[in-house]
This record gives sequence, C-alpha cells and structure tokens, in this order.
Amino acid sequence: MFDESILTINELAKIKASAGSGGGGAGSQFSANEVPFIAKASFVATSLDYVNYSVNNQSSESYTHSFNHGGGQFSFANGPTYSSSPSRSEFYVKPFTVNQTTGAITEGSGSAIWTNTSYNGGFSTGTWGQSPIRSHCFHHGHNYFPGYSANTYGSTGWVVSGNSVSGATYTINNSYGAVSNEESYAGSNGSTSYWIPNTYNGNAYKHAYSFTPGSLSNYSNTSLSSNTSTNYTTPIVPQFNSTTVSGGLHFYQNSSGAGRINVFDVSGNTQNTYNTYDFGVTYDANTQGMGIQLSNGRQLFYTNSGSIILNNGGGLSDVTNTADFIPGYTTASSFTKVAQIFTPVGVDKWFVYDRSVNELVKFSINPTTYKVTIIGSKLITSLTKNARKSYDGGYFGGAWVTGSNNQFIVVVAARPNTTPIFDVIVGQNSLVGA
Amino acid sequence: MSIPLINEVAKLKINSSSSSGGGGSQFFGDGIVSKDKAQYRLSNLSTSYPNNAGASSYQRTFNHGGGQFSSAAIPFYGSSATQTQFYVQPFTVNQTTGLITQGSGTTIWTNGSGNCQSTMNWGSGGPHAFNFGQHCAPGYSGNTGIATAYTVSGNSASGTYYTDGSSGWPANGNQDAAVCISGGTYYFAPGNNYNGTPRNLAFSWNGSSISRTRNNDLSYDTSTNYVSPIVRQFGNLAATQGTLHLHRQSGARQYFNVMGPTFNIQSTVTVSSLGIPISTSMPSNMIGLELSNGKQLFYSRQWGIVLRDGTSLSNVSGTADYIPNMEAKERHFTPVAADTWICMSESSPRELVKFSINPTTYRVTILGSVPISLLTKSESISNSAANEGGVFITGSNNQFVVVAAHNTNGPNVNIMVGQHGL
Amino acid sequence: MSLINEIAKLKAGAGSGGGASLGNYSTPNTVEPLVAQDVILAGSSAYTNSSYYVQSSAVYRRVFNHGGGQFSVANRHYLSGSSQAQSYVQPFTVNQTNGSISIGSGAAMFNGSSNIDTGTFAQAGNYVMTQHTSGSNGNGASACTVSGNSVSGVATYFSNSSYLQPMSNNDTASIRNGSTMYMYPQAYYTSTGTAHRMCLSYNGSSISMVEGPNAMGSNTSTQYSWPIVPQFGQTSPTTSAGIRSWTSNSPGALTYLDILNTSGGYSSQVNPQTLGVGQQDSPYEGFGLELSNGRQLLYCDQGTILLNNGGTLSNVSGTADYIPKSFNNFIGLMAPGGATDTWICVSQEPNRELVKFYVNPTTYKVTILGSVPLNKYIKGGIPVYEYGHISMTGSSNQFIVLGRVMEGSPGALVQVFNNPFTV
Repeated sequence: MFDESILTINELAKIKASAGSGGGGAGSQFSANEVPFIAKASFVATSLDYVNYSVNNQSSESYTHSFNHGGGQFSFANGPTYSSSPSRSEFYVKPFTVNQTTGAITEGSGSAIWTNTSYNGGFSTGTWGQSPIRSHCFHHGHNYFPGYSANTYGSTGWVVSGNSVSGATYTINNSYGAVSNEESYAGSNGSTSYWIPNTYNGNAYKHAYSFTPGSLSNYSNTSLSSNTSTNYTTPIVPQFNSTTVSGGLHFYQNSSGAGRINVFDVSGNTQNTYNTYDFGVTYDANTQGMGIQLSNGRQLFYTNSGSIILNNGGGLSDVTNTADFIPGYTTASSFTKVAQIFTPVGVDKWFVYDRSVNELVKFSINPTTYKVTIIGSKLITSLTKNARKSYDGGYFGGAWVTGSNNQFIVVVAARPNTTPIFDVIVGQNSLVGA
Repeated sequence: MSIPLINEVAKLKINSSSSSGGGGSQFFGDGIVSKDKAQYRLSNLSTSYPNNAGASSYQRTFNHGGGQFSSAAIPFYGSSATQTQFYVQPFTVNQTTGLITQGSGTTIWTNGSGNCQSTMNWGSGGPHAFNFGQHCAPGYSGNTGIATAYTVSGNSASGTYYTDGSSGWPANGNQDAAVCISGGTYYFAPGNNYNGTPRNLAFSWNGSSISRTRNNDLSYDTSTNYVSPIVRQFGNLAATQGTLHLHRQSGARQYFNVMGPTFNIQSTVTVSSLGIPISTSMPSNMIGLELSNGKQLFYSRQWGIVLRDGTSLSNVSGTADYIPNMEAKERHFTPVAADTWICMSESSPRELVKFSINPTTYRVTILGSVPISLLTKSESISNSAANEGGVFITGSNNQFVVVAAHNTNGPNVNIMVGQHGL
Repeated sequence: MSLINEIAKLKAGAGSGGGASLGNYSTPNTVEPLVAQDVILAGSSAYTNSSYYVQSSAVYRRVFNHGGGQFSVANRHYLSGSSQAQSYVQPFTVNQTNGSISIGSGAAMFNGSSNIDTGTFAQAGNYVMTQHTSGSNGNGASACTVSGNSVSGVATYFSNSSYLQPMSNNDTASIRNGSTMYMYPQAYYTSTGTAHRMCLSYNGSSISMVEGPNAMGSNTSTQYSWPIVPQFGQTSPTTSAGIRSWTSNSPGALTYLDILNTSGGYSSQVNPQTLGVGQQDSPYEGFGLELSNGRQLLYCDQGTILLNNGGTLSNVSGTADYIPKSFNNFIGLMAPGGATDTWICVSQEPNRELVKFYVNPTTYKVTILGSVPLNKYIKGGIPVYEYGHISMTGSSNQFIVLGRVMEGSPGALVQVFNNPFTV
C-alpha cells in the first residue's frame, strides 16, 4: 500500500506537470460528455413543393442566415426557388424555439415573407442584419423580388417573435447594389431599427433605412465620393440586455483610392472622418470589421487588417497595441457574420463561436482597458459528433447559448449544396449564468 | 494517504479546465506511442526518368486484416519513356510488437504502349483490393476503362484486370467503391458513367478471376451519380447487404437504387419521398455503415441521415446522430466490436475517434478520441493520410493504429504505426 | 490498485470518462499576460502617413532575430500615385532582462521610383538580404547590416536583371560564412523563361553575384532553394546553405536537387528518385534543420525526409520522424529552442500551437517536449501567417517573441511573452 501510494503520487504529479498529457488525453475535440446531448431536429425551410420539383436555396449556403432572437426564439432564413419549373421563388423564414427550462425544440410557423409567383431565381449577393431589438431582421440583396424577372436590388425587413414571422416588408431600388454576403450595420433607438447595408450606386454609398414592423423606409442616400464601389459598414454585437447602439463605422476609399473611415451615430449621421492609415491600415482600402457595444457606451471594432479601433463618443483611436483580440477573431470576411456567433450573457460578457477550432468560448472585455478575459469554452464537436458539422454551424449556421440560466447550447447547421433544410442540435452548457 | 489521492483523481476527472490537462495540444501527451515507421516507393519504373503517380488521391493503402496490408499506385513515365503499371507493395504489421515487415512488391499489370491514368475508385474487402478507372490499360495507348483486382496473402500479391477497350468510361470522383461479399465471392461497384450515362456497374472477384457482372444503363438527366461506399460490421470481411446508388432522372429528381450485395437493384426510392427536397446538386460525399441487425445507415452532410431496412428507406435525420466522418472513404473505418468502429475524423485537426451506434435508436456514443498528430507529429501528414492514404486499426487487441500517408509527389507511401489507448 | 486503474483510464484517452476537455480555450484565464507588445512599422514616413494608396502584401514582410536581443522588421512596398518604392528595415530590441521592446533607427535598403513587389528575404546573423523586382531599376537585390539597433552597410545590386525575375515570395536558402552571406534567389531568366543557377553574396557593404547566372537545362521558370533553420547557438547553418530544387528538360521533367555548399555554389546534383523518393515533374518546396553534428535533415515533398551528411544525400524517411512545422519554404515559424538539437516551432493551421521538440542527431527521432496552443497567449483568432516569426530571447531564453506580419499595415505586430517551456 505504501508503494502504491508513492507510485500513484508520482503518476498524478506527472499528469499534472505536463501540458496535454494524461487526464483525458491530449487536445481532442470529441470529448464525450463535454456537451451532453438534449435534443435535435431537422426542418425544411421552404413552402415550395420540394417533393415533386427540384428546389434550391440558390447556389450557395452563404445565401442563408440564422438568428438568435433571445428568450429561446431562433430562426433560419433563405431564398429558395424552383430550379427550373414551376416558376416561383420566395424569401422564406422558419422559426423555432428552444424551451428555456427543458431545452426541447418546438417547430414554429414558417413563412414566405415575399413570393415571386412568376419567375425562378433566388438570391444573389446580399448582406444580412439584426438590430439589438433582436426580433428585427434585415436583408439587402440582389433577389428575384415579386414581379421582377431578374435579380433586382432591394431591402427586406421582418420580425420574428412568438415562434412566427410578422411585420415583413420590402422596398426595391435597383440603383443601390449590394456589396458582399456577410452582415452590415443594424442599430436601434427606442423601438425603431436602423439598417445601413453595404451598398453602391456607381460608387460607394451610404444607403440607410429605418424600420418598424411593417414599415421600411429609405431615409438617406449619400455618395461617399469614392473611386470604387466596395465599401463596408460594421455589424454590431449588442451589449447584454440593452438595445443601445452608439453607432458604427463605414469603411471606403476616397476619390484617390486612399482608405477612409466614417464614424456614424446610431441612425447613420456621420460624426467624423478618418484616414485608415491613422489606424495602421495603409494598404488594401477594402477594410471590413465588426464592432462590440460596451456597457459604457464605447465600442471596439476588430478589423480584417489586424487593427483594433475604439469608438468613444464618435471619436476614434487605434488601440491595437493595448486591446486584446477576441476569441474567434479572424481576418476572413466571415467574422462579420456576428449575429450567428455571438450571444450576450452578462455585462460586457459574451459567448462567441470560434469555428477555426470548433469551440464556443465565454469571454469578457474590460470596458476601459479593452483587455479580454477567457472564462471558459465548450467543444462543439462533442455535441455534433462531426467536425464538419461544427464548421457548418459556424459560417453557415449559428452557435449560441440559451436557457433561463444559459444552460443550453444551440447549434444550427445549414445543409451544403443548396438544400433548404437545416439541423438544430441542443446540448447542455456547463458555463451557466452571467 | 489514499483519500487525498482519491480526491486528486476525482478533481482531475471533473474539472475540465484544470491545469492537469494542459491547453488542448494535439502534439503532446502519451495518447499514442510510436512503434515503427517505413517508407516504400510504389513503382519499379526506371529512376532515370520521372515516375509520375498522377494526382495525390490516385494511390491507396488497404487493411486486409490480421496485420496484412498493401499499398498500391498506378505510376507511369512523365516523359522520355513509355510504361504504365499497377504496382502493389504488401507489408505486415506484427500483431504484438507493431513492427513493420516489407513484403514482395509486384506489378499486377504493365503497359508499354501508353503513359496515363485518370479518375478512379478504389475499394477493398478481406484480402482483396480493387480499382476502376480510365488508365492506359494493357495494349492501349490512351485512357481506357479498366478494372483491377488483386489478393494479398503471405505478404505477396497477385491479381489481374478486366477491360473491354472502351474509352469514355470514367469513374466518378475519387471515392472508395462499394464492396460486398456474397456467397464467398466479392463484388465491387465503382461510381461511373459511360459516355455520360450512369450505369449499374459491378465486377466480381473470387481470388483468381474477374468478371463484369452488371453493366446496365440507368435513366438519367445528368451523368453525375454516386455509389455509396459501405462500411462492414464487426465480424464480417465486407458489407453483406449491399448499398445505395444515387442518380438523377428528369426534372432533377434524385433516386436511390437500393442494391443487394451483388449490386442487383432491389428497389428504387425517390429522395424527395423521404422528406428531403429534390435538388439539382448531388451530394458527392455519402457513406453507409452496416449495423449488427442488418440495417444500414447512410450519412450525408447535404441530405442528412437515411436508414435502410431491407429494401425500404426512411429519413432519420431528426433523431439519428451524425458520425465523426461522413466522407466517402470507407477505408477510414475499422470495426472493433459490435456496432463499434474506430475512424478518422473529418477536417483538421485530425483525430482517431472510437464510437458506437445504437442499432435501434441510431444514437452515437463517443467512446474515446485522440489526435493522430501525437503519432505523426505533423498535421500535414495527418491530413495526407486522411485524404489520400488511410488510417487503420490492427493488433491482437486492436491496440495499434497504422497511418499511411502517400506523398503528393508520388508514388510513395509513408507508414507509421503507433499504440493507442482507445 | 484502483487508483492506478483510475489514473490509467485518465491517461488513456479523451472522453473515456477522464478529465480535461482540452480545447484551445479550455485553460482558464490565469493565462499568461503579454510581457510586451508593439506594432512596429517598417517604412519611411511617406508610407505610413500617405494620402496615396500603398501597394504591398503581408508576404513582403518578415521579422528577424539577429541574436542578443536585436531584431528587425523588413518590408517592401511602393506608393501608387507617387513614384516611390522601397525595401526597408526597422530594427528593434527586446530587453534581455525584462522583455520590453525598444524601436531603433530604421532605413531603406533601396529607394526606387516605380514599383516593387514579388521577391524573397533571407537573414544570416546581422545581415538581411532581399531579392525583388523594381519597375525603375530592374530586378535586383538589396541588403543591410543590423547592429546597435540601427541600419548600416546598405547595398543594392541590379546587374543581370533579366536573370533575376522572382518567381516566389518564399524564404530562400542562405548561409553566413565569416563576414560574407550567400543567398540563392528563386528567380528565372526572362528571355527563356527558365531557372538558372545563381547565388548572391553580401559582405557588409556590397552585393556580388558569385555563382552564375548559369543555365542548368531547366525546363521551367520554377526553382526553390530550401532554407535551413540553424542549430542552437547559431544564427545561420554552417555545413550547407541548403538545397536547390529544379526540373530538367533532358530527360524531360526530371526533378533534381543541388546540394548547396558554404561558399556560394553547389557541390553536387542528385536525382532524388535514386534515393527512393517519389517523383513528380516539377520542383518542390522544403526546408531543413542543422543538427549538432553538422548533418542536416530536410523535410520536403509532403512526406519525404532526406539527410545531408557531409554533402551526401540519403533518404531517411523510413526512420526519421516528422516535425510539426509545415513542409514548405518558410522558416520564420521555427527557431532554435534553447538547447542542443532542440527547436521551437508554430504548427500549421487550424490549431496554431507553440511546440518544443528535440531531434536525436543520429537516429533522427523526434521527442515532443511540450506544446501549448497560441490562444493561451494571444486570445484567439490568430492570423499567424507562414511567413511570420517565432523565436526565443532573453538572458536565459526566458521570452518567446511572436512576430505577426500585418496585412493592412507596413509592419508587424510583435508580442513578447514568457517562455512556457523549461529550457
């Protein structure tokens, strides 16, 4: 017994001393019981007759988007179309809920929020948005809007709540083209949302909408005097339990091709203009980024050029040297699909899905030092049991936490190759609370 | 003394963020212990001229059971000389020590009339391995449909081929073919099309002669079609129930031909009748696993999970779990117990994963996993083994993992053997 | 007995009921804070404060460790809309006691009046060389000496321009022999579109071509020269500059390997197929490391390991182990690891890990001594390019320096953190 104890102490010491060895094996993302399974479902996201006719959701799963509306309400949106005949295409949203106590999944009432009854088509380039009024959603894209025989530019707004879709409306203006397929700025003030999608009209434009359920109004169109059409507004990750958004950034090139940044307030009024080289961005004026709303009203923007920018009341400063990057940060454009990967859970505290390593990471940002604290993480493949499905839940789906105490993980995975179905998998989250 | 120690062990077990586990490394730890390694050149062409092995996916390694393995390639001269050959290098892995023994390398066929190979399907079952593709078949100077079969025994290989001299008969994709055993004879069904027409195509091999047993056109509106590879159940040398063949008819309507073990079509089911939307695109990656109760589960990222019971199919996407690998690569699965396999995970970082499927609920339990780079020490090699070579389990107690990484500048294979704890 | 069983189970594998979940982020935030960090720009003020559009790319930048705490950021860029181009070096030091960063005095190695783009870098000791295009001066090279946190010995070379058309942005083979550095460019002759044997030397004040340009019967513009990661205590290989990989036109498309020597040439040419190595019809990338006995192990060809023992090549793939670094021509993400025959490297994507390993100089077997996901230090979303930088520094190698060249900015984000490995 004495010998055994010494042996055991030695073995324990060895396990503890060396990173990655022993206890549970090194670096596996499949750890059983890491995220215990609770429920799953598969839902078809179209009203078209997919049994008798070929239906696509238009060429790429990047033309879909998933949303977490808070309180257990979720939805999936896409633009399915018949492939050849009959002639019909639609913008379809499928809601579902996750019970905040049991984690059970309840199918909602899906809707075609608009339908083109005369032509096949579907979506092309377009960006998505969700304002901090989390039931408000947006899309600005090159779609087969009702009555049109070709892809046409327009914006759509809709509301998801009560496990159904309402307040949907759209406006068409083919002069305002969509740039990119990720997300754009969507803010809110009171009960009104503001939608400023990446848009061009010849060259870069600020093209802004206000939205209340049933009403989408284009209230501002301003040329940015750019020599190119490429420009990006920043989607904003909301602060916990808050619909406040201080504003956002608009990246573009000026008439000589040099990089510029406009910082604007919640409804899009330009407060200041900066040169990108003041923020360590001298090359490639096609800067993109996303922002996070802090509890003190400041915002931090993480750009695809490796710079971190602070917005303090409309004045910008370069904090790359002092701020930390956040988990999941990547220079890829996919990092601007923030609505699919961030969940606010506490003051200056979020979960984010890092799809490069398939982990849902809980972190906080100090609102004055901008340093990041990693609180914990969950291995998503432990729930999905397939690393590619975890990946599908990143760029082409979503991964969040939900529940009365944030005790559930929800992964939505779109199906590749144009199939209008998506999977929902719910698991247990041990990183509960705020 | 024991009580504090028990507490320490308990803490290690429950605390997922304890320092004892370290920071999730895929390179450090004693999860896999190296046993042996080897590199074999898969050609006996002259070294004075470039030996070309074609695309990196055009080589394979196979596990024939009982420690017997083989690696195969179809090299040809890149210039200055003419020969295409089908080369096989058998090797064994000692079931106790894990040590590698090189066998007798041999050519199954050679062709001095042409330098070529093309898209192909590989497959294996028991001591046999199969290939189908458009290569410079013996006697022909250009791409010609040719099926090859060989048998490995006593660390040597022998085999032969079948061709009818037809060109325009390509294999579809670089997947694993479906292989079944029925009445002691092996059957393999590559995905293919003949001048743009999908075919119900099957070959038989009994260890000495190869026959083309089926060669029938299917209705189609596109040449694209896929025969799902099928993973055998523990205790069987190959799958015994057949597989599914996916093709498309007019109106982009996708059909499954439900096939028996000789690849006879037993029934036909439209994909849409299973509640899966008809789509113009076809899921190139699908894999089937045979359960202990004779049912089969087919997995696809695109259309979900389909259950085969006899000749009927049903959609179980809402209840069945995904498995760690849904690529069309049967060679990555080794059955180690009833309804239990060890497979290579999809995508990087590559892991060896042990899992079981409940044959009535279709739920998956992960029983253990370990990063394969603990053995290879290189994620490049781990990816190469997963994409082009193979990762297998062997040993008297299934205690060894054999990683075969074919060089992208082939024809060459790197073999690594390690002892895992799964 | 039962405790031993429990421990065995814990060790046996993830998910077997045992403990740690071990994701990249699973270590709680007693994570190491950075010791120091700075964004270091390498360009004159015209480039960092310009209303013109600056043309460059992250792959045109490097971070170098010259030893003794002296580092530099090297860069190439030009202004679109104003006729200015430069290659530039910005020295900085890392304090050997407290790890703090001090930016020194930078300078251009070359100033042109048109554009500059594709090319390569090499570093040996305190010398930096870059070989590049130039719209105003033709293809050529520039070099400098970094010492005392400043730049001296600036030199340029624009002869034989038509032979020096760069075909890659990779790192390149180089060696420091006394006060001379030799660099083997990856370039081709524009008149024929074929690679030629060449070597450029720099002696601290001027650049010469000491080998070639010699036609070698290449059938393509491609050639790679494989850089060698030095042995502990060195800032350059000592027994060979590396390997040149090229493909012949007779017999057609047969790849050859030149064994490079220490004085700007090569000692022999080898057909790797005769070593049992796989063969394709184009040159391939690779890199090497130098062991304490002077032998060099060469990792290449997606799975082949060669040994250069005194100028003789052999195939040791059947016995040597792989290492976690990518098998390409970039060596910035690998460096001596603070002890004999020991190195650190950053493993390839997606899981960027800092790995320390030992290579046995006679068996060529590898022992992984430790590894840590970089997320532990830099909190995720790590754009660490293959042409980034990792090395040790400090009076007792107590610091790790991670250099992340930036995409949108003419420089690098340099981060210093405590060395997690017992040296």
